[in-house]
Amino acid sequence: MSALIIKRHHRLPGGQLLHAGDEIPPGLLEAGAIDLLMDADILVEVPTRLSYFALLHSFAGSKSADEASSLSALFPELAIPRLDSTSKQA
Amino acid sequence: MPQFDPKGGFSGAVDQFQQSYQPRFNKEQVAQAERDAADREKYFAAEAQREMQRYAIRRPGQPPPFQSKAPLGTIDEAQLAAIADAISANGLHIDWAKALEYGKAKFAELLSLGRELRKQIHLKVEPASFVQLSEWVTNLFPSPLQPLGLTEQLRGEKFPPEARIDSLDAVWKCPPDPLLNQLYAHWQAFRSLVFGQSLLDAADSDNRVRSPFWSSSFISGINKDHRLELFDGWKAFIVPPPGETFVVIELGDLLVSAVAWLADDDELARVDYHDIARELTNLRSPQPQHIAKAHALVEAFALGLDAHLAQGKPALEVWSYLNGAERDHTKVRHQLGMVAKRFPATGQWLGEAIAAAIIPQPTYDDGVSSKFDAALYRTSLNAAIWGAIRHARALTALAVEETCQESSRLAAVIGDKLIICTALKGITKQQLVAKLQEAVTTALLDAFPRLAPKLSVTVKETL
Repeated sequence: MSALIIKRHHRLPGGQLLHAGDEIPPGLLEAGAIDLLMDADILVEVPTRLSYFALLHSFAGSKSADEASSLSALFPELAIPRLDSTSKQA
Repeated sequence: MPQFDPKGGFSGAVDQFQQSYQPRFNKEQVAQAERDAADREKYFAAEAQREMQRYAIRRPGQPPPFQSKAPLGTIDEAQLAAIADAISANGLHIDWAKALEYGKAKFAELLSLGRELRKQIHLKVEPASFVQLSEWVTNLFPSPLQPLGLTEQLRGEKFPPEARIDSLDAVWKCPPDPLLNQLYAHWQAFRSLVFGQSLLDAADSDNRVRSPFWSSSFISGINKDHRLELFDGWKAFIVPPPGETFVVIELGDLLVSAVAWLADDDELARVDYHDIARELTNLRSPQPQHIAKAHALVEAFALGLDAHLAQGKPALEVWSYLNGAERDHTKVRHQLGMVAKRFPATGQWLGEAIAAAIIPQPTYDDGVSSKFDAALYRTSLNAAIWGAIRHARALTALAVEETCQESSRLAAVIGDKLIICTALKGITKQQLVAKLQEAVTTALLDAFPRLAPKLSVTVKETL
């Protein structure tokens, strides 16, 4: 679940400012535009950073299918235990 | 056989009687020689026995185990397990739209906090990862205590685990630092959102969350569950099923009440946190955070934390229990002392637990050497306190289950709160509330006689 991180400040043609260190929201740019920004060393993929947009997908407004399982795997002490998972363990 | 050495003396062992030529001319001399041999054997045996006793290891008897009184009556465990299973299976409803709206606002706040953090921490470092942050700057999270010196290490001292910073939850223990404050604020926002996201993930198509968390009060134990703290931020979005309302029974201040009953402490049973906060702060009108700190201090005292502490040592267990209510660990011991002197009966009860955990050690001389078994002390005390708390919660749940009719059911037992869903309206609902209050109060008074615990039963419409 690596994150696409903005390496340095950049203003998009629409006027939106991308802050250095932020994760780029999914769906903001098309795949081609992302490739261009990565080639220009403005965007970088950082495997050590968590993708908050994927992890907290409901609040970030992004769609994700398999994040629920990774959430309880990454932070088992913070997530509410599920009835199905406990019955499987038992 | 020793041999005669011309240089002097004998070669070989001479500690045993050496047979030599001893002429015996008559029967009396023979009898005398036999008596001498018998006396010699007797003397050697007595001397050997004396030596064994002198150098034998002394194994003193163990002290009697800590015996605390227990609430009266028994709990039907099978019925309780059935209630817990039903609670987990039925689940609670969540107001998805409102939770989502709240979560989105918190998420924007999290991004803003992260943006501020990025001005100081490296691009590749994850601010929600304690391991990465520790590797990025080795001493980013300094302990408030100095590391042990060589002399202390050689003396066998161990660094107190309460002063060790081993997770982002413990960052408040570090000396004040703006970056650490930002990191802690970011972590608080992040963990709350993770809990909220897991809550939404666990909801099914009709917004019902089925989880064993709703009945965790029967198995949680003495130690605080972080999820209870996180749930407080999201409990406003738990709603009753359509056409039903909540009735909440709260066993107020159960921990302190249970210990007051166990220790027969009248003073602790009618503890006034406002008064304690006034004494601690020297203010005529203490703020709510001062009262909350006084409450946490009384709870820590009731749990027996740092009750057996060497002179000059800081009360780090209590400091850790306060969870940031008091940042300065050097003040806590004095404050705990101010609380402890108010409740001598509880102090005596804790003293009995301490005495049962002082284990005499085997010695090779007649002196007395004892060692305090901290694990035994903690286990015995926790068993007594948890037993009383669980008994109270279980009795309340059983009383509620007996009182509830078809239109009402026990929906959750979270912490010291029992949540009932009912479809009753108007006067019938008021009758149910009155019945519940009476049934719970009677059950608790029967189980905790004489010094009735201060178990306030309050009824609320919402969580």
